[in-house]
Formats: sequence, C-alpha cells, structure tokens
Amino acid sequence: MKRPLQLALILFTIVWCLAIVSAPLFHLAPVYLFFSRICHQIPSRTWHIYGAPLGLCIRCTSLSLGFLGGLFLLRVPNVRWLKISIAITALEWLFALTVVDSETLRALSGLLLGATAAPVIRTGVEELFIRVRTPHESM
Amino acid sequence: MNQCKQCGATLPQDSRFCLQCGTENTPASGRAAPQAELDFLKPAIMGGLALGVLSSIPYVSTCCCLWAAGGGALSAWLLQKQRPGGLKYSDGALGGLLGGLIGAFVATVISIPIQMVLLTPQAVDAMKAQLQQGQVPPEVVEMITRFLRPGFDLTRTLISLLVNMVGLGLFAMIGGIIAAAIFSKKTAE
Repeated sequence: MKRPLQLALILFTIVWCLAIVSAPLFHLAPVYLFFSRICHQIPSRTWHIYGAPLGLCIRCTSLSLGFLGGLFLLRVPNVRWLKISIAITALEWLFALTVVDSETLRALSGLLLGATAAPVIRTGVEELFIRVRTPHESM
Repeated sequence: MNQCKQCGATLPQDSRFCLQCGTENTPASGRAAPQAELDFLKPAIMGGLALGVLSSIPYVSTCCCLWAAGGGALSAWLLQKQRPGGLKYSDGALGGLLGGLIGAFVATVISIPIQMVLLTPQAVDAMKAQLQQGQVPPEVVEMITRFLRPGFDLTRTLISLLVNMVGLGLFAMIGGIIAAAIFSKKTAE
C-alpha cells in the first residue's frame, strides 16, 4: 500500500511543480488564482518565463522543487537536518531583511528546506493514510 | 515507550523512524503501554483561528504559506502537550488538517467585512488599472477582473472558501507533520 501512496505523492508534486511553470507559459488564470491563496506572488520576488511571472514566488518555487528532489533522493526522515534547514531559512530571512536580499540565497534556503522536509512529510502522509484506512487500530 | 536503538530518543508507539536521528526502528514486540486519547478539536480550533485571522488580514497575509503551516504547527504543539511522550506524524497531520479546514472557514468569514470596507468602486478601478499595467498575461487579468467587483460577492466568497480549504488545509497539514517531528521530546540521557 505504501508504494502506490509514494508514487501518488510524487505524481502530485510533479503536477504541482508543472503548474508553477505552466501558469505563465499557457496563461492559466485558475492556477494563478489558486496559488494566490498560499503565496504573495509579488512580481519583483518571482522568476519570469517569457516576461510573465511564475505561479509562485522564488522561495515557494524553490521549496516545491526541493520537495520534489527530496522525495526522489532522501528515503529516511531526519529531523536534525530539518531543524537545521529551518534555522538556515530563518537566518536567511533575517539577513535579507537587515543586510541584503539575495535571490540566490532565497532559492538555496528554499531548496534545502523543501528537500529535508520531504521525507518527513511523506512519512506523515503515509501514517495518516494508514490511520484513515484502519482507524480502530491507530486511534 | 520504545527507544531508538541509535540515539536513545523516545519513540512514539509504532513509529517506524526515530524523530530525532531518522534511524529506522522495528516496533518492539509485546504489548505496548496504552497512550492517552487525544482531543483534536480544541487544538484544531486554536490553530484554525490563528491561521484564519493571520491569513486574511491585508499586508500581514503576505507571508506565503507561513501562517497556514504555523496554524497547523500550533495545533500539533497543543496536541503534544496532551501526550508528552511524543506525537506520531499522523497525529500532527490530522491536527494540522483539521486546523487548516477550520482556518479556511474563519479566513473566508473574516474576509467578508474586509472586502466590504476595502473593495470600494474606486479601489477596484485602481486595482484593475494596476493589473493591466503589470506583467500578468491578459487572459489572467481578464479572469481576475471578472471577480473584482466592489463590496460583497457570493460567488467570489464561495470560490475563496473552496480554495482556502484546499490550500490552507494542505499547508496546515504539512505544518502539523513538521511540528510533530520537531516537538517530540528527547529522552534525558
């Protein structure tokens, strides 16, 4: 049961990442509208394709791509690395606020956080799915 | 309560991986001690209220998915206070998801008076003009301007509720899982 669930999670993440990129390519208004609920979409803080902004800002796009990479590359959840990447992201945010706001640093910290969170979230989704399927055993 | 064979951290019942070092652990044989029943409702309401309010206030809401994940994390943190030995990832996921769905409802309700006050005909015209001058594709501008009507709009509110439920629910669940992993306590060495 876990294998199909893992594949479904990977498929969902691929569709999510494709939606980010295809919104400006195919002018998908519903995608922009959906992503507007979870991202500020400020054009100056967003990568562009052919002059149009991606569906999500640089940090959110990097998080999504890092998450996809983490699903493929990392098998075992490691909370220590997750804590470190959250701390790095928080430091980068403070650095951007006080010293210099760098697109590269935003992207790198997003990629790291997304990748380290991926195996943790995959495990959580697996456990939740098993729990919903067999509530009498796990509640 | 089981312990990690690698680092000695306390493991939630039936947890496959150590929440501290990530080592895979096979569940101990024999009957495990019964765990306290979790009350999901109160933590979910608290998390939902926090994320719903913060996600709907203009300017404060421009923190991407932070408030949604934060509300889910708050739900999970309140849950772990009921079970000090540590939560399962699925506890955090469920608490966060419920918090996200409650938060979606709260955010939609709060946005109604905000829209009625801020979306004046002049403000709507200014937003349309700004959109047309920006880098957004014309098809997207056309669709957004269709929804940009002054005051309260039922269709817009219902669509907003649906989008909130999916978006905020998803990220609150993610926040709940991450918090369940982070807030689990390590055994004193």
